[in-house]
Amino acid sequence: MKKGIKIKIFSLLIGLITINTLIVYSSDDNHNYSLSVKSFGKNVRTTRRYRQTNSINNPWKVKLITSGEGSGTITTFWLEDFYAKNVSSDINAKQGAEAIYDKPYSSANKIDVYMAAENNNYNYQLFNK
Amino acid sequence: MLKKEILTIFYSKKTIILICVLFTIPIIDLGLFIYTSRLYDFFLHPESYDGSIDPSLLTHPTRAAFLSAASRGHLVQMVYIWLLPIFLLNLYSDHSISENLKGYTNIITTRIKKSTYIKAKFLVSFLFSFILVFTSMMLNYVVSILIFKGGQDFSGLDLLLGDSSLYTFSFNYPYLTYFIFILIFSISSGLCGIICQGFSLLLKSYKHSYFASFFTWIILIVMPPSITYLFQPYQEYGFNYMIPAALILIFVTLVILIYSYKESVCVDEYK
Repeated sequence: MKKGIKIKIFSLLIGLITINTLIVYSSDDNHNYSLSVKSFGKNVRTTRRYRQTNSINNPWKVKLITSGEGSGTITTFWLEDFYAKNVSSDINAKQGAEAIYDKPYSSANKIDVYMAAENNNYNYQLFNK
Repeated sequence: MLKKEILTIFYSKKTIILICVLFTIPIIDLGLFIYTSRLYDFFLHPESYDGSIDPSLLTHPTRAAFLSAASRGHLVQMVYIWLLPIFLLNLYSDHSISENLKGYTNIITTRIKKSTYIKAKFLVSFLFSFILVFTSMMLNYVVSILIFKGGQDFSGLDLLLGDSSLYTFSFNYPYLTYFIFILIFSISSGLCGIICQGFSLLLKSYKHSYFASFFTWIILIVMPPSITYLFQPYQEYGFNYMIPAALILIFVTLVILIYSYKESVCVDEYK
């Protein structure tokens, strides 16, 4: 009950480097995270990472490698700013599935973002697996 | 008898306020979701979207609605669904306790059969809980459809198509699926009303019946095939979790219904 689930997340936030308005190219970075998702739908978040992009068309992605809830289970991820305001819509990542891309909000441009996660179900779950 | 039972619900100001609260909770959930959704970001920075949101980026109405639990933390769902027996007892199901304490039950049984009285109690408990939850969910659903009109984004869930037939059906007919889930939730709430009514008739005490009803409901939620899997569309637990959960709920309700009916109709007569 006290221990949350151990989730190893293989996530990527694509940073975009703008040299000027005409020449644009983005890098495809992978970042590994491990999170402990709490019961009671409590939110947890990772360390911050700066998004250099100025456009909403640069996506971020999530790939869930392992989840303590079991194989094939779903966890909800999203990006948020320092004040926990959401700056992207949700990505529901399934354990073992391919990475899913989504476009963040324009309020996610040029700020430090944190990736946050919670269980997608609203039952009381014990993750001592 | 039925008419009197239904009218007593609406005589009290307390119950009317509580009914309003139950109608407001799903709307609050929608408000919380809009605050974290792309729609709110569009109002703040319309210039980033060239004046209009692409439908593929806007959340689907059935995903935004109450039972899909898209809002942060699922706190609103917990308040509504976990505390449902408390609301239902307060609204109608605990009336039999005060009627018993005040001696009204003795008076009414001089006019009609006791079994008629008990049957009416159970029937109104089921119907009232069913209609209340159904209308509040439908209100939330209609508001959600109006706000998120044309949205197609399932926040990645539609890309996770598994081997489950339910999952495939959900994304082929999302509106129908959500309506079926509303019906399942409403029927389950009706069964919850029956559980509450059974404990009220059985235990004849506010303290014990609130305690017993709440804990029965919470145990059904906490158990591994949780009954919340029956209420939530677009989740990973398919029929192999939902059917055991439904069977357990029906079994528990039937046991409480039959035992409390026998206790209050057959046994009580000879005390």
